[in-house]
This record gives sequence, structure tokens and C-alpha cells, in this order.
Amino acid sequence: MNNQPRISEQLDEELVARVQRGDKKAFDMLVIKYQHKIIQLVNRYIKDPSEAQDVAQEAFIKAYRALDSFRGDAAFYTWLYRIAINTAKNYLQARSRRNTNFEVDIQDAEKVENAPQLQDLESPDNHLANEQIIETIKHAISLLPDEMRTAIMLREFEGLSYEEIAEAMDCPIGTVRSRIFRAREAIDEKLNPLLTHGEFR
Amino acid sequence: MNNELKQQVSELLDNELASPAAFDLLQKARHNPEITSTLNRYAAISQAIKSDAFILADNDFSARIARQIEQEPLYLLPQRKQPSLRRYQWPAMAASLAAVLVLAAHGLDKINTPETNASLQLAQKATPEPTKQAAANSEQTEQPLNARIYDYLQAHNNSVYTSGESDFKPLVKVTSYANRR
Repeated sequence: MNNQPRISEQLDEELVARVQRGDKKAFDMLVIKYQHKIIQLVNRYIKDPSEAQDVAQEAFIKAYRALDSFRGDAAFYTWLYRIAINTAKNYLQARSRRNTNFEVDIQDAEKVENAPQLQDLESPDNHLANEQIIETIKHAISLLPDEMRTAIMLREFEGLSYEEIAEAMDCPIGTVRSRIFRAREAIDEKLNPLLTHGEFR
Repeated sequence: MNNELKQQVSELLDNELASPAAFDLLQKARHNPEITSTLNRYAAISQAIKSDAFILADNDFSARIARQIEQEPLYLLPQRKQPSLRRYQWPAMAASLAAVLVLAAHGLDKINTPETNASLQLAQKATPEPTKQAAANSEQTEQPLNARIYDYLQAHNNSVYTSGESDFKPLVKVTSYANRR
């Protein structure tokens, strides 16, 4: 019933094949598609946002260099995900070698998914800005009309596909597409002043 | 950036955008930073709802990688060929033809054996004539029950029914029937 992963994988296969034939632009498209996921993943290991972005960048470059060995046995994202995790771990190892007093080592990094606060190296300013943003998002969600709030919650919390949400809410799938988009847009609108003029990053 | 494009971005984030449309959108995003920035903001909102952590990618993140990739050597892997069916066309046809010839020759040999001919003749003798069948039908009310069943079975079954003959050969299906007439 849920064909989301297949849709995404088909596109990835096409883009990877293009890169393997020498089309560098296709790799840009893969970067655009997955940059937020990889940055969020690396950020679980390395809490400093700017360091996390550097490591994520390194992971993408490594992936590009290794793409000739990618044979499609696993999905592209699964393969990229492994590269990103290894790059983050190597970065932490190198950093702990440089600074022997560094409190967090690679063993801690292994546990980081279960204990996100373990490497919380954010600056107080960043922490405050993050809290302010989360509060704004929660407030924006509370102001949404019921049907939009339900649609976005079913998507984000329950991970339901649009088809499943349409069934649950007894409405056409097109309505679900529109409700989720409008919910995101409403939240983004409330967030925009903070991102433009606030202290975030 | 119009709402239609923004809605597509939202669908791409959820893996709900069909491949051709997603491909077009990503192509546009390469030249339109606003699309990438919208995708990153929606993704950050989505992550924040789920995990209370707002992580926003830099707007020039993909552009930085693109610049670095430009310095990398080009991939020129040999194109993977689809297995060509034409390569196997003639051997397949030859094999099929040979198989048909062998089966046909084998079949003819069997049909022409004296045993088979005898069996077929016997089977033909045992099969009632259509006229006999019609006559039997017209008299069926006067016949005993066994005889009616016998006629019915003969009319509705390809088997040959005999009254105890036992020298039938293979290739003829034989069902013994105790005729008490």
C-alpha cells in the first residue's frame, strides 16, 4: 500500500546512473534531495552546527568518490547514511586524538542516538535560539485549524503516507497534500521573522 | 516562488512526489536557491516537530559541494548494457525447431505401431454409433436403470466402456463396466 520508498528509490537509481555516466549535475540533485537528512544525522553525533555541516559536506564528497563502487545492492540513501555515520565517527576519533582531554570519545558517539544530550556542545546562544524556535513551532501548530493539525501530526508523528492519512481522515488524497503543505507554510510563516532577524546561528 | 512549487517541495520531502515531477523539481532547485531553501526549512520544521531540535542546512550547502565536485575527476564508467535478447534469438529458434521435430518424430512412431493401431480399432468398435445412441435415447423410458446409466456414461465420458474385455492396449483409456443386460 505504501509505495513511498519505491518512488524515492527509482529517482535515486536514475540519478546515480547519470552520475556514473559522468553527469555531475545529477549528483547536485542527490545532494539537494538528501542534504537536510545527512546534516540532521551528523548533527546527532556532532552537536556544533557548523562542524556538523562540514562533516556532512565531507560525507557527500566521499560518497561521490566512491560512487563507482556503488552497485545498487542497497538503496542509495542507506549507502549514503553509512558513509555519513562513518565520517562522523572518524571525525570524532580524530578530534579526540588531537585533544586527549576531550570528554566525548567514539564509544560515546555510538550511544548518541539513545542519548542526544551526550554531546551537547551547543553554545548557550544557540540553545536559547533553538528553544525559542521550538516554542514558536508549537505555538504555530496550536493555531492551525483542526484538519490541518491532524494531517501534519499524522504525517510527522505517526509517519503515515498521504494515502493512509486520506483513509484515516476520510478525504481525498489531494486534500491531504494541500493540508500538509498549508500547515507547513503556516508554521514557516511564523518562523520566518526568527530565522531572518533572530539569533539563530 | 508560487504555491504549486512549494506544495511540490512539501511532497518531495515526504517522498510523495512521483519520480518525473521530483526529477524536474530537483533540476529547477539547482538554479533556484529559493526551492532549496524552502525544502531545508520544511525539513527543519519536520525534524523539530519530531525531535525538538531545529537543524537548518546552510543555504549554500549544496552549492559548496557542487563547487568541490567540479574539481573531482569525471566518472566515465562504461555504460551498463541491457542484456540483448537478439543475441539469443537464433539459438532459441533453432532449439525450438529441433524440439518440435523430435517430438513430432516420436509421436509418429508411437501412432504407427501395430499395437496402437489395434488398440484404436478396438476402441472405435467399442464406441457406440451416434445413431445407436439416438435410438437408445428414444427408448430410454423402457430400458432398465443400469442400461440408462451405461448410455449416460458413454455419452458424457471419453472413456471406452467394455463388458469385461481385458486385452486393451495402452493409449486407450479403459473403464470396465459390468453389463448385466
